[in-house]
Amino acid sequence: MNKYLLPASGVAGFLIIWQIVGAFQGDFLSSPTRMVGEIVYLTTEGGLIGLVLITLGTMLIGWVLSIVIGVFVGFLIGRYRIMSVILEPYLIAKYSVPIIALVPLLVIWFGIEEGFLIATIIIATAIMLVFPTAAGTKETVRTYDQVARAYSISGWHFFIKILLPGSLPFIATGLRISVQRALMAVIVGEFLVGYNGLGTLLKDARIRLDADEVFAVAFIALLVGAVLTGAVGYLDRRLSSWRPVAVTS
Amino acid sequence: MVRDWLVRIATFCALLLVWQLVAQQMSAAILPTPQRTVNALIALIERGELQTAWGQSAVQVAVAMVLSALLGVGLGVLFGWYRKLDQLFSPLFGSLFLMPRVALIPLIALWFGLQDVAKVMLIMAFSFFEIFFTVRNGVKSVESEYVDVARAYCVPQGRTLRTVVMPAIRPYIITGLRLGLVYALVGVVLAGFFLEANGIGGMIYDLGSNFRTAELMAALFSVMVVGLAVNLGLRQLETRLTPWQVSR
Repeated sequence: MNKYLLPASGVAGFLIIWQIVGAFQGDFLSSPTRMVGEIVYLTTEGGLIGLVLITLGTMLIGWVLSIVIGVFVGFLIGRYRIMSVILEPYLIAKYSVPIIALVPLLVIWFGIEEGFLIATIIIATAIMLVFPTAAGTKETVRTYDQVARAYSISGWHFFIKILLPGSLPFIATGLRISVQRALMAVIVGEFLVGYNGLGTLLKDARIRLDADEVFAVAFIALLVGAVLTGAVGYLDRRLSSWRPVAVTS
Repeated sequence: MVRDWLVRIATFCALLLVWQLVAQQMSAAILPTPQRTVNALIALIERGELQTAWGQSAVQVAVAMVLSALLGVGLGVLFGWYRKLDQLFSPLFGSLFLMPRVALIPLIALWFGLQDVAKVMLIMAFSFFEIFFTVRNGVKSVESEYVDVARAYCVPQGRTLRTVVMPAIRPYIITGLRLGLVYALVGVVLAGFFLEANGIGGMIYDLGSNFRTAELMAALFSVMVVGLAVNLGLRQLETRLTPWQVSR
């Protein structure tokens, strides 16, 4: 119990100070009560739940596509050395560019609707699956290659029966670190183009310079992110539970 | 090694060829040919636009990085050293770190306006946390034996920090600064998008909204070059300065 005492009092102290300061400079700094009021208002009048669900829906589509692409590329890199030679420079380059800078180009290519959002999520997220999957594939090939060869398992069978289960814990790690990023990507995308969802509220808040709304949206985003991360973390533990050793990230 | 590079060069050429062939079928506003993109890059440099934009961005990033380095290392050491303080504030910092930093843009605009001060703040929102958390974790992971020995010999705390902890966390500080700078690039691009439209971010935004795609791609290329230089260059420096450290 004592473990939670200090963090809890830190949060409580912060909320109290914020409330007091906010009482004087409310329009500027908002305050906990104003934030809660805004959340209630957005829920009842602003269709907040609908917007959250739309954002989640878009995010899930983009995330699943990112997983498919990222895992596929990861397999290629882990399995075939030539692919890692070819792709490595691009992956490093990709890692070094702020993805946000690509947004104007993506708007030109994909417009400002759902296609754009999904493209943004894939570009931001797929890469986070590549390296864990590649590591898992390498590990699995190293361990099981000879056995598989002895039983002359190859091709599609090798992929489904050996590579996929073998690298699953690694992929799960990739899932855990990518879910938060996928959510951020979709919110940023919605904020940038103003297409339907949670990010749209931010765009709205930016135009009206409404501090209450910003804090409300940020809080909701934080909450959604925490729930998603928790859910994926649970999945991760389930998928990795048969493994005696901890999985490297 | 030589064969690897041959393969890489061959794929790169193939990629250029595919780009060329696809671009010929499309309007230049959607996908310009490699040739046009290179010409656009040369034109941007000749007119000095690219240099001006990067100059503005560099100043903003430099100021923000100095501030976040001072704050990040200072607070990182403080919070890593005094565990109680860390526990008190960790949920707050943790949730700030997890919050989409983009959400802060409306607040920064409200509090600091749209000019350089606001931009520096936005960049700091990106770079500070990377430095702070890396340094804090570094201080926390300093071998407790070192600190115990210092304590056993009654070395005063200030001196322990200076002569035991600081050298031990040097690799973390350098890693933190590298990550901070990489994220500062994200911040400076966003600052150009949403605050006053200058610097490289403003340039990209303007080019994009005017459908000047060849110049846009050239500007993006410059961002990539800078990002790569920052990331790889600093990693080189990291291994040079702290050769004993396995970099992450």
